[in-house]
Order: sequence, then C-alpha cells, then structure tokens
Amino acid sequence: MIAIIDYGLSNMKSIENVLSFLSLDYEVINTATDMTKYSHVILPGVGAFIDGMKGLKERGLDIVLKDLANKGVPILGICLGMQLLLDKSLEFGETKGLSLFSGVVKPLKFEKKDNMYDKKVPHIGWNRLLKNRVEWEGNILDNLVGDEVYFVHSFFCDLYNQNQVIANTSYHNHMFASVIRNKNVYGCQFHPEKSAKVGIQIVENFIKFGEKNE
Amino acid sequence: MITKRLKNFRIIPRLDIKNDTVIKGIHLEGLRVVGNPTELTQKYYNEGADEIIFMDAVASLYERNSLDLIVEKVAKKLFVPLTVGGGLRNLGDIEKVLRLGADKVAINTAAVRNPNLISEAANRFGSQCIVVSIDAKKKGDSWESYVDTGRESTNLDAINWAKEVVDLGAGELLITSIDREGTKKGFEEDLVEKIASKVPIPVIACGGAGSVDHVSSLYKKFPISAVACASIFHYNISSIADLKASMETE
Repeated sequence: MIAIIDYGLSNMKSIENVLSFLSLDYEVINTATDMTKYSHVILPGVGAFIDGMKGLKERGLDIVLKDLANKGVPILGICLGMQLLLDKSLEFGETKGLSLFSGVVKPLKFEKKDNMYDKKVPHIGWNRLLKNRVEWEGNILDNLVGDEVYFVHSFFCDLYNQNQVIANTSYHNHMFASVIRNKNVYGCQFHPEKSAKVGIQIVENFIKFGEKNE
Repeated sequence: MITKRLKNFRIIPRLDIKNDTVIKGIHLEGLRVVGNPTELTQKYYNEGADEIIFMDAVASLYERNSLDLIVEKVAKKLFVPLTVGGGLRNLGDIEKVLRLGADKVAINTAAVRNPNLISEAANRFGSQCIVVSIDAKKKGDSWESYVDTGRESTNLDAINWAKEVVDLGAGELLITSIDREGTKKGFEEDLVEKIASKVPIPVIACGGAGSVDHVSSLYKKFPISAVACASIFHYNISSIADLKASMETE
C-alpha cells in the first residue's frame, strides 16, 4: 500500500491517476497516523515552500516523514515535495525544510538579453535527464525508454553532496539537480505523473527498486 | 518508439469543446464538429502531444460548464499536462476542475472582469497552474483584448494587459489571435513575439497554424515557448510526430 501525503496544497489527482493506471493500491494521508502498513510514500506538491512546510507542520506530517525516512521506508518527493526534503529554501526569505538532504532551494534567475525576456521562468516543459556521478541501474531511472520529462518550477535544489545527485538537467545552460537520492529517499524536480511513458516508468521503478534500503 | 520533444518548445493540441464534441470555428465563430474529445485526446497523446488544452467554447457565453465529466474521464489516461479553460468564473470553479484532474486552468473573461482573481488563484493554487488566456484582435497599430469567446471588446491593450497579468501572478500566457484563428493563414507573429519578449513567463502562441512551416517559423523565434494548434491536427494536415520530425531536420 502506497501513501500519498496531502498537506493541503497539492492537487493529488494526477498522482492518483498514475497509481490507478498501474493498478497499485494507495491511500491519501492528511494527518499524522500509524504508517506501518505503507510500503512506499509519495510527497507530491506544487506551490510555495513556506506554505508547504506550514501544511506539513500543522498536520504533524513533518515528524512522520522524518521518522519514515529513518526507518528506511522509500519516499519520493515530487517538485515542491522534493524541495521540502532539503535544509532550507530562499523563497520569500528563509524557510527551514525537512533536512533529509543537505542543500538549499534557490530561485532560477536569468538576465534579460537586449532588453528582451528570452529565458523564461517558470521553467515549463520537457527537458532531458543527464547522468551525473551515479549509474542509473537499480534505481528509479533504471532502463528508461527515453530521457525527457516534464518540468514546471521557478526554484531549484542546490545540493552540497554531488554524490546524491542521480541526474542533472540543463535549462539555458544552468545545470540543476533533477533527481536526487539519499538511501531510501528520492526526489524528482519534474513531474513523473505528467511525463508520459518515461514518467510512468519512473513511478514503477520507485515501487520496484524502492524496497532496497542500502 | 521514443516520443520526440523539441528543445524549449511545446506542441499543444487545442480542443475547443461544445457539449460533448470537439468543434472548430473560424475567428472563434461558425463552429463545426470535428470529433470526440476522449478519442482525440488519446490519439494526440499517443502521437506525442507535449500537453493538451481543453477550451469550453460556449461556457462563458451561457455561464455553464459542460466539461466536467469529460475532464474527469480523460485525465485518468492522460499522462501529460491538461489545461482547461472556458467559463471558469471564480476560485470554486478553478478548484473543481483541478480536483477533476486538470493540471492548469486558463482564464480570460473572469480575469478581465475581476483581475484580483488571478492573484487569488495564484496564491491558492500556485502560479504554475494559472494560465491567463488573451484573445486579441488587431486595432490600428495595436491589439485589443476580447472576452466572451471573441464577442466582447474590452478596451484593454493586449500587450499592456499581458504585462499586468504577469504582475498579478499568472504563470503562463495563452495568446490567441482572433483575426487568424481557424484561418490556417499562419500565426500573428508580431503580436505573439511582442508579448513574449516583454514578459518573463512562458507564452503559448495560438491561432492560425495551417502548415508545418507556420509552426517552424515560430520555433525559430526564441521567446515563444509553445504553440497551441487545432486545425492542423483536427484536419490531418500533419500529425504531431511528423510536425516535430520535420522541424528537427531544419
């Protein structure tokens, strides 16, 4: 049984639709509860970091997530859900995150060229996953049919430990972490639930390989 | 087969929906039935659509929404983003359509009548899911924004209005040229380029695509992030896969 964490911001429907399509059982969790029956946890999310942390804390879900991470339960943070896994965000001042990864969430920023906005923020659309230091075999990027996935974000994760970055993505020559992993905890900056076949495979891989607790 | 994605450029089939059929007009009028929304969406998804746009063609005129059931059904098997627009009047309408499975909403008439709706919606649901749709018609040397599916003028300069909605929190713009819409004569390039170069957020160009060349002409113009096309796909002028393939060889 998979748990989808609902902390008040997110539209869960797209994640639910992918899990249903794959005939996987899930429940939406919006309060601190006994989590022992869940094999995997998905932390989705769109919106502002500060609202996300507030939503988690109000429901006691920040403590639940840290506890699950320590117990080795596979966790997948998506988009804002990935960003919340870091130490802190610089969105609207400074907000503390879950600290499951050492790093900072920073704004995507580009200069105008010839007084023209030619590099757009948010970064919206399809972009490539690029190999970093870690091989993809046996993790959520194992054996994908393609390497392009769908992004929507204005902030990016800057990790201190590059060995935790499984894939990078380049947007107008700005390289940022698009998939991160710390043991059983994964994060994707893009939306696997909106990344067609490649994204569905990533969700399947998370369920398949997420069992491992190295 | 691996789906091709173009660098920083999305190809988005736009389905104008009336009751439970996909229709196509010219200048947003004179509507002709072209197919079934569920079937066409699956076809375009399988052909490699980067996103899908649903626009309720009559909702804002008659103040009703007929799209809900279709959105819910389509979203179950659509794994690229779905934008839904037409007749969304308030936060409740937006929330409803997002809960049914839409990923973004497009608002025009309601945003013109109450610009605060943009900031309220952006705060509540996040800017990334608020697409402001601007239907523009040429007026002298500039363009004027229209509402109610191209029927009502607003006295708003389209370019100034575009800048204003960015400040209010829009995450993306859908710019439709009413003059070109359904004509297959090519995009109103001046309009979309002027707006795209003046706003920091992505701009989707719409209205007039009738050939592969029309689309590739915009692809070369850097600030445009996406095109929304109807006729070219509904009338089988090109498939999505062929369109993408032909642009890459250039």
